[in-house]
Amino acid sequence: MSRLQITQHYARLLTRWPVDRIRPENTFHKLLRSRLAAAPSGSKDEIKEINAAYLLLDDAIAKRYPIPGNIMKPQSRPDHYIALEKALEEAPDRTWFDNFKTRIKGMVRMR
Amino acid sequence: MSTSTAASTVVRSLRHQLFRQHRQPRTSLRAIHTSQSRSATPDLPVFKAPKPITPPPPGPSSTQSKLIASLRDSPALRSTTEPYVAYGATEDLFKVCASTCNYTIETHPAPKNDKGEDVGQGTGWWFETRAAGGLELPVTFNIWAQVMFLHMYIITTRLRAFPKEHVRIWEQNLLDHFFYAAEDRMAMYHGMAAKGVRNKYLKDFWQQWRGTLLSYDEGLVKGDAVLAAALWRNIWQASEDANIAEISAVVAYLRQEIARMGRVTDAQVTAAAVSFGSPAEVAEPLGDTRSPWMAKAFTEGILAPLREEPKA
Repeated sequence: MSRLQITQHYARLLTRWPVDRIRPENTFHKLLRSRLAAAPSGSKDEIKEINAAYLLLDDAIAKRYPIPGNIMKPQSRPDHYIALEKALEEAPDRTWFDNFKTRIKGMVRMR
Repeated sequence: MSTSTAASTVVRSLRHQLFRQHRQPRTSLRAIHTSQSRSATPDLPVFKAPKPITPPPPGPSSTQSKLIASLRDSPALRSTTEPYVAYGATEDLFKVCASTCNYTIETHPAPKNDKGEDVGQGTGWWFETRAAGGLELPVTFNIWAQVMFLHMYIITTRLRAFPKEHVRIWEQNLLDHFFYAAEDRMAMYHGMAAKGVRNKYLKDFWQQWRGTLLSYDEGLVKGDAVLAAALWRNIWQASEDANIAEISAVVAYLRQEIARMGRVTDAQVTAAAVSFGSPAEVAEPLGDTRSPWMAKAFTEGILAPLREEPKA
């Protein structure tokens, strides 16, 4: 595969890779961008890496090894992952005061 | 889990724990501190093998044991007995985690890498060279801790499936065993004789553990790409030299082990009768599967990042 095609693949991966709003300074895009700009090095198998990246984007591994229900909906707290997803979505938009309120609320636990 | 099987497991674990404590003399951290320097032959106390103890007497009669079991199962007494059971079982669970990778540092002071971290000689798939089929990660304390976190995370996802009142104690004890092992390692291999210095790093590790939990949970929920990014940040320390195919091998290993853990019963977990599969078998997770995106044509919008100015 030519250098141009490899660069185009990395560009496509950059547009498709999910954005991480919680850790903006340390995203996977940093690695993909460094590959965009990098000169080809013989030690890397670029095609294998690009293929692996596409398979990750397609959730191929999640489909091959699905997580069983007793783990995804644990008995101790069936809504653990659902509440987590919701909190992760809201986290980057929280103001300083919202964070303060959450911290205070977390100090008191009702049985 | 019915009361009688829970109780018999509890009784069996307690007895097993007591028997083990008498059987194996433990070298204590104190013994390492008493020597003046590592180069002089240390004056360690000689441990004599303890006298063999007779097996414990047979348990009480069934009505008595049922009464004891029902007392132990009550909420008031659970908090007094469960931590001891959990301590013993999570110690064995942590030993299973620790068997996946290890490292030693033979020379003192230890050789250092570019970042100033101590480098040792590692064993296990995670530290083995690529020629031997391993990942060839840098053999440092932080990487060892992250590999431990990965395996502890697999067990934690399974511990969450315990009944609600048990989860917290078991999670806490598993984490405590990591702290004991980490502190031992810091004192033994990294020359941190001062407890204050070790405590500082342990507090940092607690923060790292919480962050690791969050990022892997997020990856489980949101998919492979997010999980791969989390692993890259934690185990590869966000290095730009990381190999994406290796990251995807670890994603496959993690998902496969969590799926395997889901099929293990509560009794097996409390008896620590669990094991991790061989990561080398998952090195080619999807064989030679070629993604259809490799062959798709490129559209104009895709090429926008090529024309972007690189961010400072």
